[in-house]
Amino acid sequence: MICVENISKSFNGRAVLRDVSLEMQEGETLAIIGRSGSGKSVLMKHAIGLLQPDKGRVLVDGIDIGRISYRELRTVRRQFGVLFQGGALFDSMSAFDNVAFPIRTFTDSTEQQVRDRVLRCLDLVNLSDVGTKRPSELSGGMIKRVALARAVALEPRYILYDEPTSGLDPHTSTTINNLIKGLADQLDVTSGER
Amino acid sequence: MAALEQRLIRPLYSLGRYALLLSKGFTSLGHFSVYRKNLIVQCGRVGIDSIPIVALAAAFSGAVTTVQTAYQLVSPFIPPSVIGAVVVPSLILELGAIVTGFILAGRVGARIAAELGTMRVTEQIDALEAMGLNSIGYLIVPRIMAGIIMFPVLYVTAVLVGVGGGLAAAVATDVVSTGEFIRGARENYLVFGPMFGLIKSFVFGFVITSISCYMGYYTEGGAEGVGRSTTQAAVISCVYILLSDLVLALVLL
Ligand SMILES: Nc1ncnc2c1ncn2[C@@H]1O[C@H](COP(=O)(O)OP(=O)(O)O)[C@@H](O)[C@H]1O
Ligand SMILES: [Mg+2]
Repeated sequence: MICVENISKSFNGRAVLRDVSLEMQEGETLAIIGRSGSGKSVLMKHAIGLLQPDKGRVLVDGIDIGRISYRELRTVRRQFGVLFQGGALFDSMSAFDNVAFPIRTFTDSTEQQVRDRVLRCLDLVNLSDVGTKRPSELSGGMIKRVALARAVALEPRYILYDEPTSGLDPHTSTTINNLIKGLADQLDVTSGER
Repeated sequence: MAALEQRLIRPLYSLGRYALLLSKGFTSLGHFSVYRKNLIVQCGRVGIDSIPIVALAAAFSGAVTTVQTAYQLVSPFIPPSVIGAVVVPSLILELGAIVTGFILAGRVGARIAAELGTMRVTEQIDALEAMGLNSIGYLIVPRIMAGIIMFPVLYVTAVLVGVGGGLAAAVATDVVSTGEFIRGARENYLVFGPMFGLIKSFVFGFVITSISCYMGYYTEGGAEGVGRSTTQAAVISCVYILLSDLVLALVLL
């Protein structure tokens, strides 16, 4: 369970979040809607400790992530899959290696197991044929889908999506929305969709 | 008053953040296997790829020093072997390291800052952190280690090529024979010289890569910010190379 308790955040004296609280239960899908610039991305970054609130706290499974060591925080973060607004793919790597990165880094899988897993994840997002391409060779929609594949590669307990469908054509949007729904059932994850 | 405070606090703030960055990177390292591949890649980029330009600059420095020494010193009362005695120690003590340092500040410093800056503004660093990785350890440690490992290699290359360039210029302009040049160099050889040069090159390697990593890692403000970090990385690296050069000379000589 993720608990955001009364957090406030300002940048350079301008308040972005004011006394925000919310709760995400295990297995629940929750969407947050707001105008552009209203602080959705900022809120998401607080949930995984990329930003620290000026006031209030964030609890992940009862652990206040603002009061634990950096090492412990990294352990907490490993339960999350995050899809950033712009995809945030590593542009020094191919799409395949992007999805393989968390698997290679955090598991002891053999290269064959990595391969199987990556191809399965890319299949989930209907992109079996882009593996060797670099992010700069992919369209916006493809980047988001590869990033989604990377976010779910380790079957995280929680998935955070930051505008997974904004700026995409209706067809791709539907594909991604179905994917998110499908993932929630298939992987039994808790997701915050923004 | 506020402006003065700003001026006093800003450098302290930067220094503190720089120290924290380094300590965070080097204290919470994970398994070496995570960094090994990165380290090899960085050694290639910092070191191997820089050899041609470093060699070129060193050859010319050696040649120019030779020609100028000949012009200034050699007369009927001074033997031509003085050329070897001046050129070789200058390369070992100062030119080999400082020429390499300036080239790497531009070449490697700018590259590191641009890479890390772009990763910062496109949220790739956030993505690394969100996965539970120590982004500082993962990105910065291999780059700094590559600098510390490869800079001495480049320094040695620069000295060897520089001496070759100096010798070639001496022979080509017919001011001194090869034998005389080498005799001069030998008679005035400082045992501590190469050690001093190597210490310098370790320090320069660290200064350039750590400053550039700092500038890149804390980039703010989109493409413009990346541009700013890139130029600042090169300029500030150069300034600190000069400063550390002076400090090392005062402390060690
Ligand atoms: N690192 C930052 N520094 C300063 N201001 C920021 C920073 N991050 C976000 N903001 C500001 O916070 C507000 C909310 O941003 P954001 O969460 O990205 O909006 P959105 O709801 O569109 O995702 C914006 O006005 C933005 O300018
Ligand atoms: Mg946003």
